[in-house]
Amino acid sequence: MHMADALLSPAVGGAMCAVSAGAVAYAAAKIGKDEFDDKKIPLMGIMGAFVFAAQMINFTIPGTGSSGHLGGGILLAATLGKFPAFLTLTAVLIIQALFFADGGLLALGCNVFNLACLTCLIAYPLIFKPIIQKGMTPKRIAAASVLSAVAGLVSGALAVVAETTLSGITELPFKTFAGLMIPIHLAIGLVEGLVTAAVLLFVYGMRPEILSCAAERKALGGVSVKKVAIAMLVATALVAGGLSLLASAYPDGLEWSIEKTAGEAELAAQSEVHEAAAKVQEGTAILPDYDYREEGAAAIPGTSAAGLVGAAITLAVAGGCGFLIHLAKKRRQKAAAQG
Amino acid sequence: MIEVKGLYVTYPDGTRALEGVTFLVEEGERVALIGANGAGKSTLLMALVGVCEASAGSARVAGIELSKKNLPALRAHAGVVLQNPDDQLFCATVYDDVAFGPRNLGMREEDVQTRVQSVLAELGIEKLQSRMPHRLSGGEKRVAAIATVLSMRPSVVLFDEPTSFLDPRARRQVANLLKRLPYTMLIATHDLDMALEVCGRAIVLQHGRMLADGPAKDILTDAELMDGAGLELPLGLGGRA
Amino acid sequence: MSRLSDAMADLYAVEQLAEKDTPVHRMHPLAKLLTALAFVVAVVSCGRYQPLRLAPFTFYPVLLSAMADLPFGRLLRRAALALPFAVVAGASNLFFDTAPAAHLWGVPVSGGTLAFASVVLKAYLSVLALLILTATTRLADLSAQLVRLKVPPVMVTVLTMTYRYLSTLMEEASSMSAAYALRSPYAKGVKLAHMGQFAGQLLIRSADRAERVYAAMKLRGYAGPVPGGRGVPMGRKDWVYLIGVLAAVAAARLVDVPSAVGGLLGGMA
Repeated sequence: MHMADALLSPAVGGAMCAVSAGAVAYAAAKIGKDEFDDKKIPLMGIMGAFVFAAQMINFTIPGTGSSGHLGGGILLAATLGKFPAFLTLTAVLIIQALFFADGGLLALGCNVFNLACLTCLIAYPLIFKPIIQKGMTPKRIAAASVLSAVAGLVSGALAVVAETTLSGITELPFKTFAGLMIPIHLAIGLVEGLVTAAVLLFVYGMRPEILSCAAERKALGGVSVKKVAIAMLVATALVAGGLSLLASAYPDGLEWSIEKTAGEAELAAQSEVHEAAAKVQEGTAILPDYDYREEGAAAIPGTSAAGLVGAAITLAVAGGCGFLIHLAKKRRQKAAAQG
Repeated sequence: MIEVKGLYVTYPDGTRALEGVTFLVEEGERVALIGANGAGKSTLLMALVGVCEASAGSARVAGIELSKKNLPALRAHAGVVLQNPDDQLFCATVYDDVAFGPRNLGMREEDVQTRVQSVLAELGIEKLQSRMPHRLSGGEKRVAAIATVLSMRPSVVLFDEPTSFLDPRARRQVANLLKRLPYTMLIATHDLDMALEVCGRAIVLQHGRMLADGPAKDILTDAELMDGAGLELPLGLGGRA
Repeated sequence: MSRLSDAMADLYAVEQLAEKDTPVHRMHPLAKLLTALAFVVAVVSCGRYQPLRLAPFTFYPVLLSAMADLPFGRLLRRAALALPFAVVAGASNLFFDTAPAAHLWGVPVSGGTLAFASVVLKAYLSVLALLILTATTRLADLSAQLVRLKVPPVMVTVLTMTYRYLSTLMEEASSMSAAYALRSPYAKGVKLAHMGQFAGQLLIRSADRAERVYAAMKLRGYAGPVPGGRGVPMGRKDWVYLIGVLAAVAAARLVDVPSAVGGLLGGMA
């Protein structure tokens, strides 16, 4: 579920980074204001570590024999409240990216949005909280957890699809991609929701004061589950539909634009190719098997045999430099050890 | 100086953790606080710094009356070294942890620097300052935790099981350190041998009440008393009498 | 539960590397962060069908890891572990983009192949850059500097504390897992039915630990809001590094090095 740098275009990556940075700034400001318990700070830090460790615990799903993992967004939000949970999960994502190569630097913006924003700031307040408003009964906790986990994960999955498609790096057809991701994440969301519910029930039974959601419940007013379910469906449909419209506009747009650019590139390439071909023809002795003169070759600038050789040489030089530095260091270390 | 008069601590569920504890620790004294598990040692320490609320009685720590509004001042002068150093080393580096107290006291950054370096030097752990706390050994963590408390230059230091979970070498280090420190100290401990070595006086608690208060040498060698308190003689004296 | 022990070992290995003392390690954390980011952006912005243009970018990871005394082979292997997602995604290019886009020694190469190669190489390079960043910069040092980038102090504190207690919590989870495994010899992991208690216990213990840490903080005068960190300004060496690397990255991005080198070779003969 973590986005990787390589699948992102700088534009999409940058935009998502801006969005996430804005969300972080907003959440941090909110935490500073409303009667914030300074007790929350150590709790946030340690809960971040908890979620990290909990995500590493393999649990076996009966019947399938496969193992599942906890995501933790809803669980964190129910324990800490939506803004502290959001920041905590962001910290976890940063550490995952840096230390475990899970996600990337540019992709952080996407991952924070997909995995932290959508769960803590949208699914949790819009779905989880209203359902448990009327009571923290096992049924309500289970329903709230499952529905919000599914909503969070599925919308996160759709966001991944949208970001990937909008970036235009891969050829993944939108409909197929979405068609694969949604059912998978529905299932993952279901399992995560159930585990979250189990944990919340356990903690609520033993130490209810730990859970922020229990404390935040207002005595008055409650929303009917039906209304919430409808609202959730509408919201998910809106988000999914909106993203789909955006992204599906693009594949066609992408094809169209690729045709256009390929056409232009073709022209540019041909002239460059001709120049290069002229040069090479002078030295055909060294690289005898070039064939630039093939009819209709839509060569892409830079991607030629010359380019390949050039690239190989570049790599060799880079590797050689690195090796020389390494040798020099070793020698210096030896001298220091002896001297 | 620590003055405690008739201190009572009752938990919300009604358990009486401390009942009528009264004693006086003079300036510069080192007093061992011993007793079986559940006797109230930790509760007493926590009550003296306002972490546990006293339900009755009074206390005066480092010249400051124990009351809710005095807590910040009291805590600036009375340091507590907690049982688990992992709970006390919560910053990114040892330096930051030792600097945490002075910074909260509002000291200027240059003064904080000087203070931290001198405390680290006193405890001989300058080389640990840029290390990350979670990678320290048990003994290193313990000494670092002590440093974080001493950097506030308290006049009274309370210790909760300072030698627990340490290997013999580290334990020896800590015991020697405790002997060197010039502060007024109250040391809650199960390590009766260390208590005998480090402290001149001992207070025995049982079920929240004071059982005895006197010279460590007398108390810790009194087999009958120790047995009655649910304890034993220090191992160095042969353990079970 | 091997994921836990793998993660703990990984974390420890990276931390050990970050403790080294080399010119690279001594560089200002922000300079390293910004150069890594610029590198990733430049790599990622390379053309979809131009995998060869990525060649000059290899100087960055190779030179840095040599100068920082990092075990390059291990880094390469570790980076490879992060590839699967990119490979699978890039495979779509192989399958769907089959029109020939270039010819190498008379053999037609489909656009999809180029794009696939591009995706995989980009993934490799960007992950390497990130790993090198982490292996040469302690998170403690990096987060202290983040405030200078206008990151909200709350965020920095949570990041620092999460990291601080990461191995502590993982060890706790690990010993709980070991205890569980010893009493359920036929289970491959925690049974779903037990997850509520298992993770719930860990959560409660974590909350209790947070209480103790909070008490420890209060006892040392913590009055909120957020424990402050100071930022150290960048020195001259750091600026030289930053600007130098940025320039090199820009050059690699803008200049078609492979074609130039290849063309040179052709021209020399």
